[in-house]
Amino acid sequence: MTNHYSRRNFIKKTALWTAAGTLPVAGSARAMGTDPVLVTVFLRGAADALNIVVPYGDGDYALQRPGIALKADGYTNLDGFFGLNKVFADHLMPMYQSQELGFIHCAGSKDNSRSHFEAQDYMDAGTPGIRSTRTGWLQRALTALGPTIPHAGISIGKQTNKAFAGPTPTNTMLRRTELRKQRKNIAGDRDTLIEIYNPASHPLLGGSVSSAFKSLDVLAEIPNDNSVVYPDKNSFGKSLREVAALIRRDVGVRIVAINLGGWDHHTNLTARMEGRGEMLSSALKAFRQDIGEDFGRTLLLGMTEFGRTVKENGNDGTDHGHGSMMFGMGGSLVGAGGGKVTLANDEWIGLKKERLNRDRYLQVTTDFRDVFAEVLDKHMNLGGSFGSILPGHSVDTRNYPGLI
Amino acid sequence: MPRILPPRWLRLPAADRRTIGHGQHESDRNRSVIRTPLRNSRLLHAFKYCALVTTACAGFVLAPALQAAELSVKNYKAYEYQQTARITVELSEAMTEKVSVHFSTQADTAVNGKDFYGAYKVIEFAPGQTRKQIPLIILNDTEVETQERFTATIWNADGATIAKAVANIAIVDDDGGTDVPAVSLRPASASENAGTVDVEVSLSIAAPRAVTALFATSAATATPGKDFYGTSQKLRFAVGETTKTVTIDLLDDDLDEGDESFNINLYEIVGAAPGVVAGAVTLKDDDNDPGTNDAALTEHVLNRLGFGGARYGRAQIDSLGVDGYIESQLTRSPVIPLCDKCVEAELTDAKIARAVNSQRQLSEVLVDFWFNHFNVDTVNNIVRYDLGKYETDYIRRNIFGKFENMLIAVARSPAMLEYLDNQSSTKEGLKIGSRVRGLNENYARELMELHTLGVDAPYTEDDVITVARILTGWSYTRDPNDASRRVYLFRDRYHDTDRKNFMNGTLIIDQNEGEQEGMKLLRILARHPRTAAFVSRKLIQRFVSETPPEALVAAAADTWVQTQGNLREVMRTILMSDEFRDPANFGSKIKSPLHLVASASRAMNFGAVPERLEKAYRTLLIDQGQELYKVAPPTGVPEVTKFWVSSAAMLARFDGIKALVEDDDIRRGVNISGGDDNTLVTDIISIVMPQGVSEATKSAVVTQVAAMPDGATLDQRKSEALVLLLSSPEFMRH
Repeated sequence: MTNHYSRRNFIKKTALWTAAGTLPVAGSARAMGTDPVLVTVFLRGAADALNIVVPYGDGDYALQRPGIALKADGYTNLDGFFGLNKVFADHLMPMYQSQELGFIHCAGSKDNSRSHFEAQDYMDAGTPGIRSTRTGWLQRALTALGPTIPHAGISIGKQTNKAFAGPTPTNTMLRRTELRKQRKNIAGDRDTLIEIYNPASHPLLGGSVSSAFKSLDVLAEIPNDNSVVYPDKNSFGKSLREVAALIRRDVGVRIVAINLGGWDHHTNLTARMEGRGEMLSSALKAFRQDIGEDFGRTLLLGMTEFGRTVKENGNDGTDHGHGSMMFGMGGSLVGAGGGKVTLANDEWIGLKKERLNRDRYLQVTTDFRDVFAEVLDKHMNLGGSFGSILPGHSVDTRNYPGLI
Repeated sequence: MPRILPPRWLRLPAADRRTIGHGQHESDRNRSVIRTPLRNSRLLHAFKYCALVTTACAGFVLAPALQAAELSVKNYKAYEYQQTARITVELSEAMTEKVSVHFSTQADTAVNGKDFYGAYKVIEFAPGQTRKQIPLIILNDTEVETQERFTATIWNADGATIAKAVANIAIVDDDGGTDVPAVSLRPASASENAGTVDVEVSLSIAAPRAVTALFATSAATATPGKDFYGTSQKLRFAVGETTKTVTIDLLDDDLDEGDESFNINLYEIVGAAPGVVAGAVTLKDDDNDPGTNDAALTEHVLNRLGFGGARYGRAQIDSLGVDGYIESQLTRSPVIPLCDKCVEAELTDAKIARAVNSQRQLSEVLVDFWFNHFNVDTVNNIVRYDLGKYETDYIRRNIFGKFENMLIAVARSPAMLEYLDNQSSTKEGLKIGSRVRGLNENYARELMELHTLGVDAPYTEDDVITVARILTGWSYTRDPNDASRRVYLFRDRYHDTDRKNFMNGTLIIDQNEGEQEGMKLLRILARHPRTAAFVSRKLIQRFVSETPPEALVAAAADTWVQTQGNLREVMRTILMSDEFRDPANFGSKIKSPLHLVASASRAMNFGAVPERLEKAYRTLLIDQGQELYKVAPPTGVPEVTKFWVSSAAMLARFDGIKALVEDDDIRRGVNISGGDDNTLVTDIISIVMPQGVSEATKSAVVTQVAAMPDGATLDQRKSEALVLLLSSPEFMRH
């Protein structure tokens, strides 16, 4: 496989784009990292794509959703056909307009599962339809990056993100303040704990403990120098604040996985989408401002396990469906997938019953693995490792959505 | 308005006639109401005719006489197996206008959600109707009970008065309660060298006539002819006699074989509750090889059937043997309502307190398992104010009962109805006000995927919709006694009455059966072999191994199918299995944060968690990644426990253990007498981890204690050793 997009190209592009002066310079003078960073945002619970990136230009949209279709005052026009839900647009339109944010519609898994846990497992594993995969796609991507420090891969939270599942220890953290407190409290026992948690004798526990202690000092000492104030009462924003700090300090973080749950809107979708959308997009906006120049080497990739029924259900909500959407955010989208809604073959498949999956659900026209492949290839420069990272998927660059 | 007299022929004797004001309804505003008993049907017809074809009666409406018609609710006696009780409410005479009355049930010795499902509804008698029957669901449990009762009350009648407001509803036990004498066996144990063992057979109450039963032994791990002499004999209880003793001869051997057991059963019971009564006799091995580690099995049992080793449990296993202990744990802990409106914090405190302190540890593990199986997240106050009942009445009461009772209780709970949205699911196209409503598939899908059949079962997308249609109407309404709460209500109007075909003919509903359709469906799902296998597998993951042995899954599923989902029997199959005792499974699981915190407290012999520490305990769990009652996805947390391991969680575990040990009250229960560093650490290990730790762990702990400054007190050294041992990889596993 030829990488038609080399690392060199990537850096050049970033440099050009930075020189254009579109970025505020955040924080004090410091050495800026050059390694590309991937941040995955998994919207768990199956986000309703049609009420986020709204195909208002399709007359069937309003017909299928008489109670919950967004009207003209509920979205901001993107391209004369799609609109962005206003709650999202209020925070994200500037990034969309500067081509730093783009959407891929009708994206998702070719597998037809409508089970949350199963479809999430498939997406985290990167192998839809295969139960036996024991490692996550991000774990395999880390392995492909070569020997790395444990915090090269970080899950934000208390549990390891499923996309990082596997034998190589990664790091998990919620907040630096907590790490500092813990570091202080257990300082006296640290050496003995490291000794008794020898990974050779205790592979699972020892791996986590050694990765915790190897990274603890580095992570705990990242100062609180975030350049913006994140929105109040927004736990997702607080998490992105940690992510921005990790990237800005350039301590070797390469892949970060973060979850935002609460998208299973079987009832009262409009109001619940407003709540989630506000949390997500106000946090993304603050993150963008905070991360400053490092935005050029950062790609944030949004996904969800499946989409929802095209037709609304009886309770102003939608039930489990199939096709959904993905989104990308980062400096490398400029001039590529940023500032637009990407469709496979530039074709909107439509919402007429006969055009839907099983008459009820949005089709998947972009396989999520092709999005992963493009990101791995063009952003992470891992195009040579598709065989291990996306086993069973034959990557064809012509199927790339053109996000980057 | 001028007062108009009714026509002469309507002028009734004064005692029967009262003309009062004007009608309440719009159409009656200008008409006088004559309240009259309508015994006289000729009069009634005459009036109707008069009102229809003449104007003479137009100024009047007839209404039921104020004192005349009377409502009463009838006493009822139901048998457990009956499933539905029909409570009669009678009107003493036919009326021309609608009569309505409120009806509700009140638990007494019979418990709502365990013995029956309560109802609250408004009953309406159409004109002319005098009798209504209210169907109530009676739950058939497997416990031996006395006759139980609850009451039905009618009040707030409109159009009649109430003569008998309260009815007693009795539920007669069919499992051998006090009305019917029941035979029971006491599990026995003896050393294999004891020569004989006595088994006591008893009757719950003196019987009015003689009771006979066939007593027989059968092999389990102990073999007849090698370990004991098998026997089969007829026992006869004379009138008034309540106990019998059967003596069984034992054979001693010199094998170091561990404890063994054989089964004892009673069959062909005549004169008492029928059925088969099972028990076991444990034979304790007296040929202990000092190399075998009984402590490892004891700690395994206490960690899998509970939240870790502690003095009480170890003593119980010493005296009852492992089988006897497991048998003793197969009874439910008493159901004690905690507080009226327990919400997350109080429930978490109670859960921790019980995990640390309850003697019926298995009950606590099972409540945890089943709550997680039927996970609800506290999304709002409707769920929140039902949580206490959800855990206590719907889950805890049913842990050793039939699975279907738990499934039905959960299906009817406001918490689940709200969390998975079934409360608002209606037939397609139903107009409510100006809104058009329809199906919501959320609960239907999770019911099959997560609660019963499992995701691999052969149900289709159409079946999801069919199940949603069957369950339309399963909803809730405001609790008449507490506006902040909801109570279950079946809404006829929501119900889809069309034909339904579920899973290719597994259940076909041709004609509308309302709420009963859902009851049928839930019973089918509960007893389905796929459910038996799916849920048994999950139980085995919790109790035995996270890679479940297929033979054991098959055995447990078989018990499930044979007993129609009797959860006590399923648990007995799992816990009495060889696989459960297989040392390969010891320590194969990672403790959950709750398990870690509770087992550390238990290891230090810490009893009740005092109020001052409750918040600290709650925080420990959250720091380690377990916020109880706040798990968002309907899957709950996975049974595969490596879920709990991460760098962040491990740091929080170390931090949390240190906080526990450094509390003076918590570590006080570890009594040691001192000695050198090695003795001190050895003594502490024998208290907190009698099964031992690896040499590497022990020597590292000794080294660190030895490195403490010379002036370190015994308590400081103890504290240091405890922190490290309870933070060790061995203690993280179970």
